[in-house]
Amino acid sequence: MFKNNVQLALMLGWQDVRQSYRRSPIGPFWVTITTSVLITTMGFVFGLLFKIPYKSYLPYLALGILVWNFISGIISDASNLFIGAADLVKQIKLPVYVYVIRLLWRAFVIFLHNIILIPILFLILQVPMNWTMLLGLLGLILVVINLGWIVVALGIVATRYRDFSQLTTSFLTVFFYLTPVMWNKDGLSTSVVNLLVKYNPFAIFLSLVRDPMLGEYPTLRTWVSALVMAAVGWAGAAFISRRYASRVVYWL
Amino acid sequence: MVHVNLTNLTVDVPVYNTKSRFLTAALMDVATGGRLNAAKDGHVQVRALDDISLEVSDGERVGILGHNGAGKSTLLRVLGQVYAPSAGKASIRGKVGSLIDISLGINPEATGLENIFIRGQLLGLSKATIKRKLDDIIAFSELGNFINLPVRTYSTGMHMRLAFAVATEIRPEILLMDEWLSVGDEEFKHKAEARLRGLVDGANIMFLASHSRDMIEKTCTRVIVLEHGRIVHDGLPSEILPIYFGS
Repeated sequence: MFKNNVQLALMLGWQDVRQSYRRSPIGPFWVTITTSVLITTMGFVFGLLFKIPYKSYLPYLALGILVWNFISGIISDASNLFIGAADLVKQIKLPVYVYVIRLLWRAFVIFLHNIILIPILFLILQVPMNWTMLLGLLGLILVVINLGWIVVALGIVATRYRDFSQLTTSFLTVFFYLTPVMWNKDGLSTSVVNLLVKYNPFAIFLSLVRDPMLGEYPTLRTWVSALVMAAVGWAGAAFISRRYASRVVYWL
Repeated sequence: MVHVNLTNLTVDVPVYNTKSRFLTAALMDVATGGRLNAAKDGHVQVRALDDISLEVSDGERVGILGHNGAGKSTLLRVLGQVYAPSAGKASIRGKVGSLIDISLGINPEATGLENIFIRGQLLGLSKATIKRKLDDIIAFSELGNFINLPVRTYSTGMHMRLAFAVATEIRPEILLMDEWLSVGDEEFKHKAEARLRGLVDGANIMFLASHSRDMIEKTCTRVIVLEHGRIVHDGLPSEILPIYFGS
């Protein structure tokens, strides 16, 4: 039963990706093209503004944008978790995790299409590759574990309170600027910036994936924060799910 | 042991977009289908099922009668474990399969073949099972090479044949149906009827919501009549049908 459900979730997620690009020969690589144009433009403008050499700024920015798009895409889709699948929810009994895996898988497939930019960029700029990069994979897994509880909790709450979808959108816009996606904390070490980087969950997620890719080790504090968030978050999500998952269909 | 037992089951469906007190009051005066009432927080609530007690054992074929809005679909959703009861208990033992919306999840942009997998997996079949039965399904649907074209290019009949061929691959212990399925032209109808009969005969318990006296007479061993979310009659078809349909 569990195996069938996971297969179903992966299939639905895959169909979602295909659906968006069905009659386009380039398909999901459109996102890759858009992202690379964005990164090149922003890299040019902000590289000039911040006076950072491209060779170090472009990889930083590219990874920042890619990981941010992955995270923010999942969170903004989360408020639509059940609303977007209303006809399914109203007709068949499926466990919540089917919808969650479907969403995560869809976002991950798009992310994989985008991530091919990184080796290309690293080759062009001749950024040295090293083994720390593998740690980025571990970081990504921890980030996805955290996104999981956010999707469960937000998906359920946003079905009942429809304003959450708008709220999430503005929240994410604000955090795009509050998080070191395109700006770098180095040389800006005021107490405010420190606060933004230390206590901002998005900054923590970003650091776990991006830092190893750039050959740096995320601090122990960052790892522990993410683990604690995952534990507390999943406890909360489990509570919400146990209590309200069966009500979701009535809220659609 | 396949068994369905509903005890004092009530289902209240909240309506969240009607918040005004005035509207609440106004709506309660014109109650037609389910009974309207106000929840604690002032939202309008439709009592779709009201204090239903029903015990169904292995072998029974239950016909559900009632006017539009009487609660037939809600009852089927409770039996399909989509709706959790607001009050009371629903104990449903057995694998439930539904033929209520056989087109659910069909993606018009995807090919017939892809849709076989989409539909099959939504029905709870494993990928391996679908692969094994793939040739059967395609042959039964009589779609030939059309199976590799997007479903949006299909005629309504072809669409229904595909949906029917996949949906009838399930082998549930408790079968739910909203009106008897009948698809295709005369020739196909015959074939479909035989296949559906096989599925119905294989199920331990069947629920059929219908407006057709004929169909219920032919298929069911027991009939319940719903009115405003309550069971008003429950008995043998020979007793209940004359009361409900008159003579």
